[in-house]
Amino acid sequence: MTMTTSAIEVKAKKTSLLKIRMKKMRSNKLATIGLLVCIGMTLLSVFAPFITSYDPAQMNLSNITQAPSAEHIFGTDKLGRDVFAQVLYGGRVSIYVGVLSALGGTIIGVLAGAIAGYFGGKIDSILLRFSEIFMTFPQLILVLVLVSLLGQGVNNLIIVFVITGWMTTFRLVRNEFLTVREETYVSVCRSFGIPTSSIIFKHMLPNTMSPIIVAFTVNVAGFILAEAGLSFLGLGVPVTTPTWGNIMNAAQSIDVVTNYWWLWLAPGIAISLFVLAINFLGDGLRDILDPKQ
Amino acid sequence: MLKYIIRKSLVTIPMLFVISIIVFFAIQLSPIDPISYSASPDVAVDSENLEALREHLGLNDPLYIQYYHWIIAVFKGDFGYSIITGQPIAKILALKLPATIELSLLALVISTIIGVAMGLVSAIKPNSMSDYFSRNVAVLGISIPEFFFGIIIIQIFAIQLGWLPISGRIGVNDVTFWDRLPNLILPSFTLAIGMLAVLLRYTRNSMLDVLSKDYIKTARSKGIPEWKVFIFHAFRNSLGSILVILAFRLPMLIGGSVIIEMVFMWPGIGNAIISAVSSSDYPVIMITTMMLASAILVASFLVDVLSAFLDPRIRLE
Repeated sequence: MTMTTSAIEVKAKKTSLLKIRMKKMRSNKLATIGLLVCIGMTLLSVFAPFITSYDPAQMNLSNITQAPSAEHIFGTDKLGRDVFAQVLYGGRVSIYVGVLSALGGTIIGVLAGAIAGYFGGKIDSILLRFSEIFMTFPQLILVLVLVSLLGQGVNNLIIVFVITGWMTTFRLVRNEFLTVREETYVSVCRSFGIPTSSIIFKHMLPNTMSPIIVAFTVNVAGFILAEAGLSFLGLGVPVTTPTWGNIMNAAQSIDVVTNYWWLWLAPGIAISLFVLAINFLGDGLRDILDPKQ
Repeated sequence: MLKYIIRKSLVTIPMLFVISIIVFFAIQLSPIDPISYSASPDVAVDSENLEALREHLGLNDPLYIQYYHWIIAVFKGDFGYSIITGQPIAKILALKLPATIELSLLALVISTIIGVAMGLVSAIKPNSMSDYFSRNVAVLGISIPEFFFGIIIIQIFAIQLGWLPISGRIGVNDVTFWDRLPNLILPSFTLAIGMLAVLLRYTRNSMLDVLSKDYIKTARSKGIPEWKVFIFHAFRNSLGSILVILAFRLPMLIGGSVIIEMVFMWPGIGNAIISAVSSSDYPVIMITTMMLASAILVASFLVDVLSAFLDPRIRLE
């Protein structure tokens, strides 16, 4: 009986904490706008076929480099493809790469960080040195080298991003665990004989969730920018798959920059808007989730 | 202090070796025959010559002996040859590195002046309108892809207004640094934008931290004018940590300039890396990567020493 009442109490407390956070979220205008923009742009790319009737790969050589008009609202590119359709479909790959890479990096970072922080000692210093070695290579250059070894492709790119992007989350989780480890409830758990994996994942991890979530949003933004940069250089996702960066690849020629502004302005704004929205959301979450605020 | 430096070098030097080992074995993983970049191209034409050379260069030796010879050669400044152009890599570095350093240094100066100034303005009145404004500008700076920003300012200042050159480093009649300066402005400004946010946040936080200290209260209660407290008491004391982040930024900038060099057709090391990656010129990729990684490692070593020098608590830890 006592068990159920305490369970209900815990549940009541949880919803009220959630409610407080929802309220804080709504009062933080920039974060709310950021969230709405992220969701909106993701939905637009997911439901792209319902929004535009154009196929992003459909070439039309009699209709090349048309300025924006009622028919093609973002104009057409050098092969007569509809830029609006490309931006919509390109968002799918860009957002997919960003979110999946951040997810992978976070999982590895959390696992390694939890192990290093909980056990400390030798395994901690080995993992720490390992992350330091990764951090001494400039990230973009490390990515370039790995891409040149693995070959281009959406999945290879995600693998490379995960390999090069787990270190910040790792350090964050490690430091959190080092402090949480000393809390009384952890030693209580241990003396109850609760298995170590359960202590780490069920009892300690939920208490370090807030900074992990914030780091995740920052990473999504970073990976979307990285993908855009690489694809802009022609070294990321193969040009046959449209991504926001790939569409801008055309703007490497000064002729396009000078004469066909619609080829780079629309995808550029799409990337900037999405990343800006995520950054505002991340900043907001930092304030909302931090109990010290 | 000396003890601290020695202790830090004991960590840094092995790290340098680990990096060189990783780089060396990565070259071995690539599908390129090492003879093609160890020998200068005119020697490599004759296949009989090549076999003798292979034996002479020790390419039939076990890997660890090869690594030993390679690292000795690198220390002597012999980096091997590009397999695409046949140029010695040392020559490529000597040609391209100055352009990148020039660009990065100017970007560092620009971003420092703007970033620190905005951080100071933010710290005068936290959560005020100006604080809010500069923080959001900083978020904008890290959200816009650098190549997109570069394209926009090329469009505005070079194409529409025609004030500055579109791209390149040295024009036909440019002799002195001042002749070249117009070419530098747009790329260095673009590179600086991405750094603003970090510097601004760092300056703001370290200023707010110092401003809450007791000696600031003491200074204020002595009746010292507020601007003097701000500049001579607070800013002077937060300068140390700002300097540290600056020292750490320079090698990062060199790594970060890759895309910008492509947008502005800047003939620097980033440009060399991109063309090496596109043509699978592994020797060039590996040497440039190793150079940058070593530069970052050395910079972080210097940062540690510098902060220990400025703050005795760190070196006694």
